Amino acid sequence: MQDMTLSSTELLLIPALPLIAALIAGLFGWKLKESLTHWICCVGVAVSALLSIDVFMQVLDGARFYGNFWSWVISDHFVVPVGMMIDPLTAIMMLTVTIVSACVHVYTIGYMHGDPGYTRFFSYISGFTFSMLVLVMGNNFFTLFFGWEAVGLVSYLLIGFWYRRESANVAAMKAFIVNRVGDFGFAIGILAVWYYFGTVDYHEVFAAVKPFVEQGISLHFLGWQMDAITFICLALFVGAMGKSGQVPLHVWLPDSMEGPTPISALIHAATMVTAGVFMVARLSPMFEFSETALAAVILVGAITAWMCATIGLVQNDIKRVIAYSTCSQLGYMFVACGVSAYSAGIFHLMTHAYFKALLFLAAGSVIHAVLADQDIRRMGQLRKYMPITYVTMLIAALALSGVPPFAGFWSKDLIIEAAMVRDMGWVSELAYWAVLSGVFMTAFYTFRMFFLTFHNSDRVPAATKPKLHESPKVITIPLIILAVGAFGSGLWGVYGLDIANAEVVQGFFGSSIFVLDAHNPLLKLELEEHHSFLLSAPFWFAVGGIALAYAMYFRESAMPAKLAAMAPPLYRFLLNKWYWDEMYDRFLVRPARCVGTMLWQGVDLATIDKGVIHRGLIDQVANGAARLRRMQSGMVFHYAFAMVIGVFGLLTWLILKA
Amino acid sequence: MANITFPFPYPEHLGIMLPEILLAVLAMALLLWDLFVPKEKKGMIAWAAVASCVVTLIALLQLPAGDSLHTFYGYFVLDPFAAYAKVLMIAATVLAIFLSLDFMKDEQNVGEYYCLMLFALLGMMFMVSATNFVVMYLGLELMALCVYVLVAYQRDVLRSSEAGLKYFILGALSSGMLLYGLSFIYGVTTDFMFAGIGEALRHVEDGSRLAVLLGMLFIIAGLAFKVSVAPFHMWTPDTYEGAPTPVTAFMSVAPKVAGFVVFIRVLADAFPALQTEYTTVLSVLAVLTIGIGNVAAIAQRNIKRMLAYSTIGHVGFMLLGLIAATQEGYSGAMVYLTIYLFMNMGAFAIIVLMRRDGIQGELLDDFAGLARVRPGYALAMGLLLFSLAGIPFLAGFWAKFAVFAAAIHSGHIWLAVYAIVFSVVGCFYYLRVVKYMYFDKERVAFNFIENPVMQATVVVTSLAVVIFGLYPKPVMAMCSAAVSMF
Amino acid sequence: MIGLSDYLVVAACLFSLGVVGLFLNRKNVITILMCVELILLAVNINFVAFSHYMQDLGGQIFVFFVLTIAASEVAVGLAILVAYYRTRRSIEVEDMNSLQG
Repeated sequence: MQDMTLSSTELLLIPALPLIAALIAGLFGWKLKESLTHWICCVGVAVSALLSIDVFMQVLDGARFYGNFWSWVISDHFVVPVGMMIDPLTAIMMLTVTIVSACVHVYTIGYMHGDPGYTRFFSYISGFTFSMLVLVMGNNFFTLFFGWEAVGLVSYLLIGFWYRRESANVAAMKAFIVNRVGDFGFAIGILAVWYYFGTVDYHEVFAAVKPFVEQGISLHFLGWQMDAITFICLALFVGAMGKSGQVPLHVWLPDSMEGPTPISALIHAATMVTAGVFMVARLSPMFEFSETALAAVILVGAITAWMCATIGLVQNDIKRVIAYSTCSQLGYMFVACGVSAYSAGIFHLMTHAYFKALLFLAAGSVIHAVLADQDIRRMGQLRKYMPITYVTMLIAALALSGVPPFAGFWSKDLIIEAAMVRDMGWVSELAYWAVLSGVFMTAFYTFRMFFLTFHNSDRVPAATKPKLHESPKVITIPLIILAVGAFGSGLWGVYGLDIANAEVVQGFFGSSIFVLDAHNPLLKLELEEHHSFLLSAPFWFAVGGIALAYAMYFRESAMPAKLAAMAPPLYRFLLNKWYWDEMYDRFLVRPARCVGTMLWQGVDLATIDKGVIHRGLIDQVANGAARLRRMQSGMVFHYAFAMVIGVFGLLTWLILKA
Repeated sequence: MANITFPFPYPEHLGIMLPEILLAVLAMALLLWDLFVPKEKKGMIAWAAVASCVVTLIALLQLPAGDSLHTFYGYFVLDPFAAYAKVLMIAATVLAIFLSLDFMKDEQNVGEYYCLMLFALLGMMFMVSATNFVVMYLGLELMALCVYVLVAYQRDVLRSSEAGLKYFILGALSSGMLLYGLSFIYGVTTDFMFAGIGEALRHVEDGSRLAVLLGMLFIIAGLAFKVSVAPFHMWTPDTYEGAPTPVTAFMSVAPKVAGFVVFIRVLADAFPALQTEYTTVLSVLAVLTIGIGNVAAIAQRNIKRMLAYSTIGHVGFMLLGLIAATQEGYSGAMVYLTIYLFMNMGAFAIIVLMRRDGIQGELLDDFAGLARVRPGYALAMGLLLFSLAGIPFLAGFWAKFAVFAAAIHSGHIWLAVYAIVFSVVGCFYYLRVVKYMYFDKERVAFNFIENPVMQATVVVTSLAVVIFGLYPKPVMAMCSAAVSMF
Repeated sequence: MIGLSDYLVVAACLFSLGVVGLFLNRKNVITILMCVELILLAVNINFVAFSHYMQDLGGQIFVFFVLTIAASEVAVGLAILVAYYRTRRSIEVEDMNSLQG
């Protein structure tokens, strides 16, 4: 069974169909009818999703693929191959990406209806699907990097989709610049891989890691020493921090909510932001050999998980609550990777993709209904108007909070238990408490948002009220499909794929994830007794969070305001998101602007434009040009003279020199 | 039995001259046929000229590639270098004919115009195949005489005949210099063959050294004139401006290819013993050429004149490949010429398309607002200009990359840095045109020539610039194969 | 006995005369044509002298080519000059200045 290979045509079609759809929509969209464009894109992505399901089935039966299709760049020893590597890790990612993407495509038909950028939007999201598939399917660091940058580009374009809005442009630029920081580390990491291993192919690099570590090669930089493998992993992880919104590079993700809601669901919740997690899992053969890097992954993940949860407690923008929740949940996934429970991380990635996409799309449905208002203080009692949205959002909220048997419970519980049993000193201890308390806060803010939206008192402005309605079918059907995923994907993962079982983990993910036995927390879990969920701490934390939210927000009450008044500095601190933006502004943005102004006024204007000496470089060049122009007198005897002088001048010079 | 065959000693491998023979016969036949073609059907001559070029090209391509084949007792060689250069020159000629189709339709005796182009091509084909100064000189003069006439072809336009006259006077001076230098080299070595001279110069006595230096310098000056190297460049702007635009396009490319091929052959085969001397001389010339070309272009208002200075600047960059004096350098120069052919032909094609009432389309101001009226032309022109400026990833970037890399590898780092600085200066005047096209309001009423062949030329050249830019490997590989014998 | 150097000196003088004539003369284009002839003839003297001195026929044969080409060059030059004169109505070198800069 193991030697079964997949059809390369089928594999190529999976990314090719969205690409073709994106090109058609992008190049000819302005000529085609809107309905034709969305049909092309939806069908392209839907077929791609069906093919992904087929590939997933074959992978379950043991089929694999590894091969290069062609070489993109060849320069001496430097070769950039374009190839694919299909194994369980890739397959589960493909499945998640294409299914969520297909749902979002359909949803978009309803949500973006009548927008002047309708076809452009379809071109972008299909292009995004292509890029994300390249990212996960590639078999080397350069295809990874290509996909990485391509999804970043589309993300930038989509955050700034409503380019007439200033806030959208600012958010897009912020996302772009913050991601530059991450991608700089990522690029350094890839270059370091190429420098140390001489290849960018996954198989070749992974095979070389063990002997490489045993050689003990280390890096010296400014009198500061570090294992080369640690350096590589940390640099790559900086990229992951940027893309996956981890502290301190998380600031762009909440702002990215300026983009249309389908994008928040697809890119900034379900798929692109999880690329960092995927990357760490994909490169597990490298991370496993660096304790330092793993500790850094845990630390960053745990801090993000906890900090973003605290911010989420007080936000009033429905999308921002979910966005901070995304940051926080990504932190969980990184904690999982850091404690070497990669399979748990990927499992949570998958379940999160379904329920978070659902949460966003449901929020979008709400926003659609209340005429693009996103403030939960102006909602309430919406369950009467939109029952389907209400039910699906309830499923998503339960899944996110970690209530069994919804999807989030299974994966989150696995992560928390893994963090508990993995012993890495204070790091894993801290991570355990951070994620555990995070569960409580997650449940609280999720249901706070949920109750304020659908229950509590009716605070919808009178002008909007007559127009409240349930969204059309193109919006609700994707919600229902995703709700099935948000409900069932956890059960399916545990009982269908048996992800929670350490032995079978090796069976399902096979060699696609590499864990040193000494690290494997799932093996330890195996040794311990299995207990009912009623005995698990996370479950009770979740229930507690929901209960508190119920008490405070299910009906109108004065409790929240009193609570906020009790500790106004703390409340403001959280409301202002720990003052990250202000800090960046104070310590990075303003100094950078200051240096920029100095270079502009002091260097550019002073020497090049105006000039301290004479009139600046520009005038000098212009003068030179004018002088040369005068020398070209039009007189043929001058020209001849120049030739003769030239040749005799050279002759004299040569003779004198010899 | 003496080895004499009827009716004259039939040289071995005469077949390798088949392209030249065919071209000569066809061009002369065309000249005769022109007499019988009624005036309103002269367009046929152009197509016949294109057909002649195609026939020549086919004849060339069927010849065995890869070896060096000699005929006429070693006076004429067909090697990959010559063959590649010939392909380039034929391509340039065909493109120039395409540009002429509409431009020349109102001229009298237009048939002769196309015949002159073919004869110029013939001269250049002899130049690149020459292994000695006799054949080289004959080819050079055949080319030069034809181009003088082509430049002055618009007899009723003062600028055209003045340009021709200036070019002629200075050209005559330059070939006088070339010959004078040659006479000294001949006096020292008693040989006209490049290889023979190269061999003899290795063992030259000290007493003859001055004569050799003088000879070499005058020969370099003569060749430098043909490829517009400063300070022998001063004919270029005047001639480019005055000549009919298709002729300008033609002479900005094809003679440059021939001139550089001859330059490389002369330097590498005849003067290897003087390499230190000629590299210093060429370095000085390159510094002057790059500086003058790129700076003077800034002050121009006429786009043909601007492109003339741009040509001078590019020639300066190409010289870096010769200064490197390595296979990589020669290959770089050929890459540059290949890519330059497409960039320049495309740019001139657009200028021709914009021509109206003589001068229209020649002033930079005429390009203002082109993007609004003809976004396609503006896009093509923009691509070509960006490529000329050497912006990655368009073909022009790789051209510069090839020669700069060669210069750096051969140790001429400062020269390369200087060239890079001036290529930045050069960006200014290319991008200024882009600015006019995209950001300014139109100042004149556009009246385009609608000619599908020329529009196709624009499309082909700008596509080539993009494709070579994204995938430069084939061009690089062809060029390094072409210079493999050095 | 007249030696090789004597011929070379004569040729050099002729060459210099031709070159100097090219850029000193500001009046008549015909004079320029004559100067070009002078340059080419100086070259020919060089070739013949070297050819005789080195006992090699190549130089003398080359002279024939140079002569032929000089003839055609002048023909072309005069033709262009005629065309120029018809529009400009002058053959003064200083008047050839509509193209400059």
